[in-house]
Amino acid sequence: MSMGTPPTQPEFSGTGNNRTIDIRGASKWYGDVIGVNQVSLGIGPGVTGLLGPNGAGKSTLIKLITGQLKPGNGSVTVMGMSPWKNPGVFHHLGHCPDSDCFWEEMTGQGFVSMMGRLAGFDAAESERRAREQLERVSMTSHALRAIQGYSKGMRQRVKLAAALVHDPIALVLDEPLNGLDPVGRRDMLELFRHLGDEGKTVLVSSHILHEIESLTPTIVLIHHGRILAEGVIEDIRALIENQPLTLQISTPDPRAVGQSLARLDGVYSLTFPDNGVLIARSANPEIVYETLQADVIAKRYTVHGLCALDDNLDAVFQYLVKE
Amino acid sequence: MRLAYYRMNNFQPMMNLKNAFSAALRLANLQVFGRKRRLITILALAFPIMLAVLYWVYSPHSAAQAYPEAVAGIFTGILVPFLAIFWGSALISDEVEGKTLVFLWTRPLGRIPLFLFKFVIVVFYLTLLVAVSVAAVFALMYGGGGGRAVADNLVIAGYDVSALTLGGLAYAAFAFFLAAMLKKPLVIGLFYVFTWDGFAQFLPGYLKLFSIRHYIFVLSSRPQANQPEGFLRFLGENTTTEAQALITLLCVTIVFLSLGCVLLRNREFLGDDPARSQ
Repeated sequence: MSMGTPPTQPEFSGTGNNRTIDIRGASKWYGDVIGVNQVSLGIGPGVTGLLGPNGAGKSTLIKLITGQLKPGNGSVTVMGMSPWKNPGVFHHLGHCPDSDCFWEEMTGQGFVSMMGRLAGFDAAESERRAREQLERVSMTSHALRAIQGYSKGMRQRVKLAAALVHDPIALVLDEPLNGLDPVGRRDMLELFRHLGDEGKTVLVSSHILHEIESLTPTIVLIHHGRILAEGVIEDIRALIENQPLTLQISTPDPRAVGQSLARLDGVYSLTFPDNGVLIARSANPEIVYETLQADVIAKRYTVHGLCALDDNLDAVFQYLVKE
Repeated sequence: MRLAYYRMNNFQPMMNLKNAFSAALRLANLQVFGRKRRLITILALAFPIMLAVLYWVYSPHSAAQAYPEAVAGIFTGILVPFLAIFWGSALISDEVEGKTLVFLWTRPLGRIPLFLFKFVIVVFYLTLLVAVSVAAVFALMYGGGGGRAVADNLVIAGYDVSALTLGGLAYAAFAFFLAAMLKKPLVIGLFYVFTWDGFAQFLPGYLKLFSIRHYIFVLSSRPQANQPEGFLRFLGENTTTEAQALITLLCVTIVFLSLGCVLLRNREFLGDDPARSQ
């Protein structure tokens, strides 16, 4: 970096000292009820999914990051600064809350443009940015209608446009896909990916695992106010590699295939839920794959399909929650 | 190094107060003239005018004598406290109940300038609307004596509007403070103005000094309390000067506004967090 040129965009990454969002030992209690407990987390550029069931502490964590709550213990910083009582942070932090409430009599354009003005832009610039962001979320044709007539999906889009209107470096999106139709969901996921590719730090919370799984491999799992795991899905899966994997084998002759697998070490159970389907649980799936491959050739078994039922985020989550 | 640069500058560029005012104006307009409140506002301000019209029709010559009591009873006793508490508490509680506070609190502008601008705009609307209503009542009630009577007594209406404005400021600041502290400020605010604030006027000694209405009475054209005889005179005895009343109302406004701002600055937004509702 040249010393003479002030930076226009800071560089942050999820590791080391330059995490965009850095949470260290943060706790928040509501009286006797725990919100989040001793959470330490670093989030850098790109899309990160924050996953957990309802009541897991996602919203509390997001409120701590966006300065709506003060941590009881520990620290929360965004770009090196505490967001609590520090509105300056929001020049570079955009927030899309989960609440579905607006000033209902405002138009979408009016709402987004007011958010632009609250971010420091003049009237003309706010209007221009509002139009631009509403177009980005495919709301141009509804921009001049009062929000009270909007569907849930439209409201989500308008909130997102408001979060983007000041072109923040970091975006914190609380359940942004709620209420969107499949096409809207696809468009929004594409937009989040694009924002991540631009180098923005995008934190997306959801309680729907497959949504996040299709969006990003980088995830944070939260449950009962604690971080269960964080990192890339495959790495998290590797943490539980010694756990049995459930394999579904589609074959016209499941019993014969089952006989072959039953001989193998590490195959714990075999079940036959339907005609043409065999479910095997094994701590060593590689041997199952090799045996199946060999038997298909040697014994001429027909295998239509093979998939690992719990090699996905849902299974990882279920496993970690049970732990 | 870049991180250090941003820490050094602390992301605090000059706030654009014009923008804060613009946003506050939009929100205050929704609050005062929005669908929910428009009718209440119109009815509240048309009510004294309708009474004045009736007086003017049925008793045009005695209307002027009744004017001070009309101001004391209707504007000072009901309308100004009601509207000031109603709008003053809504400054914050509308955003809390409507769950729109989150949009205001996650913007670079900060909480205090926006809410102070909203306060100023709402008090301006209150003053404007009360001034129009008082002027209409004054014209109708003094109109029976001809244009000369209206012109000669115009200063009375001026006093009333000034006193009501200062009273409105104090009530609205009190409501603002309640809204920053409580979940249901309107109930507490209205309870105060329609119980203690009125009742204290009939108490002997210095207890009335703990009511806002007393100071409005001191400043307004209401016949001063040393007019009644006997026990009523004892009850209504007034030793507060106009200067003291003016200073007290301003102090009440400043203290409650400041306390409200401190509470607002330190307030956490819990919203409908699932953990909170457990």
